[in-house]
Amino acid sequence: MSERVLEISNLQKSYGDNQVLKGVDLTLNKGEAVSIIGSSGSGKTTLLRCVNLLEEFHGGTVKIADKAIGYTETNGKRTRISNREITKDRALTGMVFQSFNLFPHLTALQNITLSLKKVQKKSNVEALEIANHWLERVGLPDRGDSFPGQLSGGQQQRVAIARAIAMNPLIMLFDEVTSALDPELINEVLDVIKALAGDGMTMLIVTHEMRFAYEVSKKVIFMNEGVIGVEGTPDEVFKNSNNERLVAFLKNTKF
Amino acid sequence: MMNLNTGFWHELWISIDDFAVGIGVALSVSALAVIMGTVLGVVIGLGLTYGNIVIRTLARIYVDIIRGIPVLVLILAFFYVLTIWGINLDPFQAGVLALGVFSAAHVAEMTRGALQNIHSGQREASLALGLTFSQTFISVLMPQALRQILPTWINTVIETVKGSTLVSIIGVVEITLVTQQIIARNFLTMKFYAVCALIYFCIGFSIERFGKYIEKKIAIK
Repeated sequence: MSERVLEISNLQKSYGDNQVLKGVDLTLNKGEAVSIIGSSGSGKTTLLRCVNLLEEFHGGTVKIADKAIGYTETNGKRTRISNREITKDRALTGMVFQSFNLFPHLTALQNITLSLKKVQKKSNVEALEIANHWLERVGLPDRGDSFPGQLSGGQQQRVAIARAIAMNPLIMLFDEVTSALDPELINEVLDVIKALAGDGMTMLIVTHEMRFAYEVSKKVIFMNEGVIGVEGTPDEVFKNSNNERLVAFLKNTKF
Repeated sequence: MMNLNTGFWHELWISIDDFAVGIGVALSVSALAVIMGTVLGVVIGLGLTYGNIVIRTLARIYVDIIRGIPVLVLILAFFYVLTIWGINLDPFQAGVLALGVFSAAHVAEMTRGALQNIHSGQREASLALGLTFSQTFISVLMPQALRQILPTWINTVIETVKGSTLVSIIGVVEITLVTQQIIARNFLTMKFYAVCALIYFCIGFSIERFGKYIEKKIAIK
């Protein structure tokens, strides 16, 4: 049996009266890529952000490598752990955002080395070595000294991927990483993610790129109104005709 | 008739030492006020941005009250009103304090504006990478905020230098008061006020140019 990296059970999250996650269960084994699809407002981004504790959640558990993150529970009472521990839990995952979020005042290399040095306390030489390695892997070996403003959107997003993965996380989280890109730049980013999947990186991908989800994932999850509507292999999900919501959703998306 | 050599150039020549002292005092008052205003202002600005409701309210009250009071009134207040509580500041100290307190309110507001203008994604990305808040602040937020603040901060420095003229009213012998004293001696009113204005212009212009230079140097590419 393969090693379980992520185990989400009965995850619940509300904004005031509005419950956005209504008990989500999801598991992810080492080396698996799982895509989450669904219309906006279905809770898929929120789900992803709960996994690295950028969002608080109000019920259920998230376990990474068999350790519950973010909260402790004693006698049925949940308490959020200290910020210091949350910071540690966050380091288990790496996240890539829709809007890149590179640090504009730092070069591509410095963007990657900053957390290697500050969080992992690596030496400058070591950090640079890792950063250069990953820049090469995302196809930007000679752009290390460029500032984000001097790079195209696709290049920026590839640097952001390198930055997250250089921290050697157990899971990579991709949050609609191509939604802010011009159509002609989407593929260069998707190709990088595909290559990472090919290397056996464990990843959870929220995406609107159906063909990409179909090609890259071992499992696809369709989220609808805060619950998992359908899940299965890409074939099972994309050729599913039993779930009305899914059929309607797929009809309205490009494949 | 006695040959009173009252030619402008001669008068200017014999006033150089006085002006030098005046410039020195004006620059010291301004520099100390700017240092104080910047340190205090950044702290208050942090309170405005990240403080809890109590800290935020206190900071907001400080900023709004100080920004609503003319600097001249602040200067007089620090010099005269504080004596009620037995605090006797000499004119130089009162002047520095008043200008410092005043510029702190402006720096606080700039700091808040700059920090709040930084896209929330910057903080989220830092958190996601495992940086603590202080690491994020030092390496990610502050460097960006500083670049944004710089042009307005330079403006505050220039305003403070110009505001330092007002401490002449409590007897600090800075450029303006020196000018008045010289005029009392030679009655060359127009000419010496022109010299006074020229001196202020040179100081202000130099600061502005220097600011532009730094701005260009640290601009985000």
